Amino acid sequence: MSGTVILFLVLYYVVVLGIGYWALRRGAGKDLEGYLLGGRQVGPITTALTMQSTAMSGYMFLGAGGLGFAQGYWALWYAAGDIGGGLLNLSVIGRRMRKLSQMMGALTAIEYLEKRYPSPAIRLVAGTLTIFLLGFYVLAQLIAGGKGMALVTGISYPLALAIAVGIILIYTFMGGYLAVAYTDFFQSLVMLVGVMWIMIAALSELGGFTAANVAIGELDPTLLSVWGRGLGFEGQWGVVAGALLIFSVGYMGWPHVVTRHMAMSSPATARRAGFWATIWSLFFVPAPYLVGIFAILILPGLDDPEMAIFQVAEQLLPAAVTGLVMAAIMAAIMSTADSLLLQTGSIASRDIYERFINPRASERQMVMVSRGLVLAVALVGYAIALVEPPTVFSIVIFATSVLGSAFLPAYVCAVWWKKANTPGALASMIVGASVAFIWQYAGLVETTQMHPMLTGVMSSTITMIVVSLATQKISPVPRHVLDAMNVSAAVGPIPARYLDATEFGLANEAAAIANGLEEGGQNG
Amino acid sequence: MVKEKLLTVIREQVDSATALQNIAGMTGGVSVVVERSVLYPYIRFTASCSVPTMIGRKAISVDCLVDGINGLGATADPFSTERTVICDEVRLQSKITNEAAQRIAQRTVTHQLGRQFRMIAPFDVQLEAAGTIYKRFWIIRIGGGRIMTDSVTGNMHTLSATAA
Repeated sequence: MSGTVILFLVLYYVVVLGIGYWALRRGAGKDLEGYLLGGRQVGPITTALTMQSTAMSGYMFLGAGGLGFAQGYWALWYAAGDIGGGLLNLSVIGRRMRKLSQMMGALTAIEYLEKRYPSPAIRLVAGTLTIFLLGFYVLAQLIAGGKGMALVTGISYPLALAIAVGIILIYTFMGGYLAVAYTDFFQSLVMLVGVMWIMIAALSELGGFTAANVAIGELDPTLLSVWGRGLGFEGQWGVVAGALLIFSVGYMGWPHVVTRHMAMSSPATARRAGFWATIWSLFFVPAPYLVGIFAILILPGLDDPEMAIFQVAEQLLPAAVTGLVMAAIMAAIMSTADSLLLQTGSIASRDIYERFINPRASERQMVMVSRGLVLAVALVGYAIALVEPPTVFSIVIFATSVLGSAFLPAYVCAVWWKKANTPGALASMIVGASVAFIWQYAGLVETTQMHPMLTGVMSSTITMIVVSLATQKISPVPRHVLDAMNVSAAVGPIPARYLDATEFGLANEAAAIANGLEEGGQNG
Repeated sequence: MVKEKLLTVIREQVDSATALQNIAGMTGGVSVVVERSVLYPYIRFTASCSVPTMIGRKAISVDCLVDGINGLGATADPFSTERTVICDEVRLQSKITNEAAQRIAQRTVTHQLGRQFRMIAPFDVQLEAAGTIYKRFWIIRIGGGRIMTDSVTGNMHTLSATAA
């Protein structure tokens, strides 16, 4: 890496810190209050881009590029699912979940599951599974951060990894406020422009799409097929279906993603945010995969396929641009890792410690538990990433498959199926997670040609249906849950155009006022 | 006999005529009429907290309202109140005790601070109870259904079919 790259990388962070410092000095506290209160009022474009910049993790910059480099156009199966994932997620569970969670008073995704399927076992199983799997997801970000830092600075991987882990921990303990308040929106734009720039530079280098494809075809025609290098996945529709599902419906099973539904303000905001998120994804998502594919020609001797995007950027972009783009990529990785660690710490302290171990825990005790777990996850992650680092792609696919398999039916049925009950949800989570886990580690993907995501989701869905139906008499869905589901689904005899103006945050007041009017008669 | 009471009510920003006008603008000819208003109870707390920043801890103060019927908490934008004499039958009764409300407010503010500032840190939240206050909602009949409008924000929500 040249000194110019490092200079612009440092400059990027200095500017970001400078903006934050200036805002804090200027606001002297008022700014913080405004942020605390005003964060929920952001518009759909900001909401969408902030959401995307957090969701797009180190996977997009290492895993996606690496997959494109290794398998050619087959990698685009994953991209296809990812492009529509956000919109599908918002459409299927977004509005109803927002309203139901508001009515049930759930602050976290795990608490929401317990209130919908009343049982402490639900929170215990869901919380434990989430902590374990988000830990894997964090590991992927640590490896991505370490690899990126090593390439950008030229220092050794162990030292770069230690620095990346240290920065992420400081970010989490000291506050990501500056990044959240002032840079998420900017960062998502830099990410989009940066990745597009790398792709266009690659295309320009190769003489355009057609010339690039001709050259790849001459090298290995199977890389142009939808079946992967050497037609390794030919006819394996079970694997293809899993690749499509993992980032489309898989999103719906991620507690850290569905939490976002609980903060939406209105259906109109959700719809417009979904639109902008899809537009952003349409341009952003395929680019890393394509850059990975083009890297087959640009970097034929590349040792680590997951470094394809970084290496292409270094080779083709002007040093200053490379510095800025890499700073944005590193910031994206840090930001995602920080979010995941916060979510993990919050689940450990609120959903496990406060709920089951110390119900009267003080704020400081909760902070200690959160910090302790975050530190443990970071240290274990550091050790694994140092001793035998798996690929970012394999970790993300593993964690997403198991998370999606465990939680997808529970979240979807929570709002769409009134017969989904506690035993059904509990069995579904356990069976889905177990099947996806075993499928992955017993080597059943190769022998059955079925993706763990597909088998996991099928198992958990069937389990949810069978167990819920079989246990309706011994464990009926409580009346108050059914009432809340009815309210979250029904809108009354009001023209559809009013739905856009509906404020989710008023759902509880609306239900109470409706009851009050009913009880109080019509004589007011 | 109509009972009258002196209550603290959040000063309204949207009167019944404006609420009606806002909805009438969307109806396309369907008749709308303001049916009544309802006063909704909230238990108010002022939370003093400190947020760690790179230039030291910053003290901030924020209002937290706990829904007096459903027991849900939320931080609130600054607002002003007024003492008003109201007829008893348009007021919903609070069902949440002050102790329960305090616990909910503490949890709400702590959760909101951690989520919004994205950090794991003690915020030293101190709550000061400020009593029960009420917010007015306009109930507007439209065709066969009802919509309620928040008299402070102008936000609206349909009322369920069963009550309509």
